[in-house]
Amino acid sequence: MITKDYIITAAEGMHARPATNLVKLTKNYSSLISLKKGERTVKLSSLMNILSLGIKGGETVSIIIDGEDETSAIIAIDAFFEEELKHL
Amino acid sequence: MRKFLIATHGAFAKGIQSSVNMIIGETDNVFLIQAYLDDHISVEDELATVLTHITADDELVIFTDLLGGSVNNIMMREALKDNVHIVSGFNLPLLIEVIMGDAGTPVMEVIEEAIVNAKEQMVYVNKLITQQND
Repeated sequence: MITKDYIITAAEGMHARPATNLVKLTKNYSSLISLKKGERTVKLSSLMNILSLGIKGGETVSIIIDGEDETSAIIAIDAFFEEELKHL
Repeated sequence: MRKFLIATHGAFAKGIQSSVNMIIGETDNVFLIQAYLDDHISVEDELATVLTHITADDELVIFTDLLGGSVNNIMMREALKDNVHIVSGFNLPLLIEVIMGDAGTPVMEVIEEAIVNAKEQMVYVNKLITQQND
């Protein structure tokens, strides 16, 4: 299992379009991928799950990946949070 | 293959499709019925045209705007069978959740979960903010 924290760098936070991209990205992997903010953890398979966390710019979230392809999944998720999210 | 039909009174179907496309990108296999916009085409005829694109191996999820409305009644009467699933009173979150639903997950499960998530999106925001500030 891999757990990694990310600070949300996009001023608008995790709004609908970036959250959609994250859901689409996770569909490429068989691992169970979850997102945690505070005490709440949700599966990344649902856009509404992500939006329900109300993630704002500057907040920290954790990604939890568990499965056979978790190593390749974390590389893609790294790229999403550290590069792609800034431009969405 | 999973296919979708958005059937509404007037242009709501087209409008909400525009919103879906903006958020998740254009999706194949989404059909629209904008009922009663054209007096010369009946809803039944529009539906019959859509159903020519649905095979026995397909699953069709129909979204209608109002339970008890004529559009929903026609869908129930003319389209409902084992591989057709009708969801009324849909909103944008529901549409997104079902269209983005995992193709490998049974459609009934996708719909049930989407309805729960979509209902949670309908919130009196003023009250929510007040509660958070208390």
